[in-house]
Amino acid sequence: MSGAAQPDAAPALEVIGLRKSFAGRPVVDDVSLSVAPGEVLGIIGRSGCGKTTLLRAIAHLDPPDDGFVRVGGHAFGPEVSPAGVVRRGWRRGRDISRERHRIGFVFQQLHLWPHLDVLGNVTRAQSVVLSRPAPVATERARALLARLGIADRAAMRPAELSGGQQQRVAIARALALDPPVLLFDEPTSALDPELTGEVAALLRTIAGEGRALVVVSHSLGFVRRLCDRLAFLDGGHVVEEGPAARLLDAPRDPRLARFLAALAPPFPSPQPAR
Amino acid sequence: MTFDPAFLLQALPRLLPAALLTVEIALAATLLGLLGGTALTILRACKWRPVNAAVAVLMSVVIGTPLLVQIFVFYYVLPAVGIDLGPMSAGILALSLNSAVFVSEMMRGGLATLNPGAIEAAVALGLRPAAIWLRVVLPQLYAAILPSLIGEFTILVKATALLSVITVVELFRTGQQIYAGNFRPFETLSAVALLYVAINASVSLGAGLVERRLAARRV
Amino acid sequence: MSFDPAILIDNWPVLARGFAVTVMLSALAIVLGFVMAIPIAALKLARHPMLRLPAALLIEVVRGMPFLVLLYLLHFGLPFFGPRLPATVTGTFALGLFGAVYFAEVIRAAVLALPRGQMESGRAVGMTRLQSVRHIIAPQLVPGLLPPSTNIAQMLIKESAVLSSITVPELTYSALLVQGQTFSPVEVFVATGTLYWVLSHALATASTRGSRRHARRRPQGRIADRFLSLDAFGPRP
Repeated sequence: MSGAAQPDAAPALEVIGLRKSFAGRPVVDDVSLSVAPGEVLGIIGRSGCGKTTLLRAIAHLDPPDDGFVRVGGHAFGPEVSPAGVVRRGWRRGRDISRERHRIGFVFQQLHLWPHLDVLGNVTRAQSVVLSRPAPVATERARALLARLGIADRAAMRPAELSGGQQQRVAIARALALDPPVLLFDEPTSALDPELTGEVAALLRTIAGEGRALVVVSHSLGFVRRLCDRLAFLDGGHVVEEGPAARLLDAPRDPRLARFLAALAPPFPSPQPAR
Repeated sequence: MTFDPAFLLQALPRLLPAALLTVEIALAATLLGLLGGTALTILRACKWRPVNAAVAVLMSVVIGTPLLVQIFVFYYVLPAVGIDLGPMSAGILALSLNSAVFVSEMMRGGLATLNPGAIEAAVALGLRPAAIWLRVVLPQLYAAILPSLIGEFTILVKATALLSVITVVELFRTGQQIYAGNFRPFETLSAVALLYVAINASVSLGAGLVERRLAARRV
Repeated sequence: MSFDPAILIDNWPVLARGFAVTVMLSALAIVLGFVMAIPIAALKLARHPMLRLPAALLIEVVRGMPFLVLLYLLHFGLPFFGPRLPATVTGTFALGLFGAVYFAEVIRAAVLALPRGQMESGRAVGMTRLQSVRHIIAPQLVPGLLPPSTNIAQMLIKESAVLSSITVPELTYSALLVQGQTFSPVEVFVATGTLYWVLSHALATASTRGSRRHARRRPQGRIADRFLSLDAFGPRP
């Protein structure tokens, strides 16, 4: 599937030599990725292969042990080496919080704020993090909610919404800060299977605005519909990377082939493989 | 002036018997409180409105006023109306009444956790209400509130210190007498505090062990 | 038994002043206790055991001893660290510290009851730790915090009577003063008890108005209900 990707443009997101280990066990091991504006990169792999950890390390929710991340050519977080040297464009001691609005993160469990209504969920970070005046934040939030088709839910609490609506709130909350990069952790896992097509279409339009998207998913049908490129992660390494259709239909690495064979029916399918 | 642990250690031989007395007072108050609490609970369960109202007022007063004031009432007010008990009895009674009210509240919570089926079975068997209370409800109820009762005992161990203000020579007042002689209040009081903490910690520890053993036996 | 209201009328100013002191120092101790409880709870929630240890130790030790002993320890111990403070200051601080260990446990329980990922979702949109606490965590803590905190506040009001033993001129101290002059324990302690009762009930009423909780009881059979429920006029399901 071809989208609005501009492969020639400077990458929106660069991940270089990222490493993360827990209790001495490397979970993400020397991962480098690059995503152009408007491009959707899918990350696939069996559970425990480090997909979610990679995503969290990119957003510095779990700060990487080594390697670095750039958003739009600017450092996102300290560029660490094993010696702990802070390099290139990142002042020591600078608070990563001031940068996080450049990467939107949509959690698998969404983690909406139950004490705020939908509008509050979408405006709060705008006013706290970007110091937008309340009317500006509200206007932005209402426009987003309208675009996502949940304008009439603005005054409701997250608990009153369906799973699909809750996810749209989470997406609106991330989009409200206008991040050039958006990370999605398993966006279809909590949804009814028939909604995956809708979500894929929605994420495509979001990418169409020139944002770079990284999507972790275990649903092959979903990544086939959505992603321009795929990276197959195994044992913390990117084992194979390339155009989505090529990876899914003609895997080169035997590990990827085994993974696909275990998950997908033996023929290419536009339907979610479940 | 500095902290000299020697005075702390010196105080211990005199404090230990006093600590024993404190435990005894707390035990007496816990048992009387359990008795009184059971009585209050049964009175409340009769659902006879005038009695309920009287019990409710009593409980509200006990819950809403400081234990220290209740102790003063037993110590000063009762003699004024012709009942002179002496400080020890007045103190234990004050603690017991206070405890009875809280035990009755525990029992209210405990009753809600009991299995109604067992009681219906007893009713179906034709047992009289008194027998049902004695043989069915109370045994289960005591078992249900046992952990809270142990908590109540540790609360009462601490509450006994208040009896020092009506001249009962328990652990805290013994400490006061010691530092009146050696002019080392901080070291002496540290020893006193240590003993209270030790008593309560060993009660909680012992209770935890017994509870685990009981739980293991049930399995 | 006789009740002579004249004694109360004559000595009313003393009791009223004591009552005012009780109200003010209890309020101060409640606020102070809650503020001191926040770092204690934060330490108790820390991941590193060496951070949890001091908080756990403080909580166990303060909870393990009578408030009277804590009060005397501070009364005689604080002068080691500075000038001797007025009894009212020491007493209020002791009451606050005593409340703090109880408040800390309440705060810890409320934090543990939070839905997972709330702190992280605040951080993910770029809020600092402090901003996440202020905008995301704290507002969610309040409803769960209010009822148990009210209980602790009531406990502190009642424990404040113990401050009379270090001559803080609060209500109980005033009562003992009047009792010593008039030898009329009935009148004095009835009035004192009433004042404490009013204070602690006023607090409870204010708190339940803030958060109306409905006590839901397990539906029970009518027969068993005769044994398992208390009070003819108690809350009915």
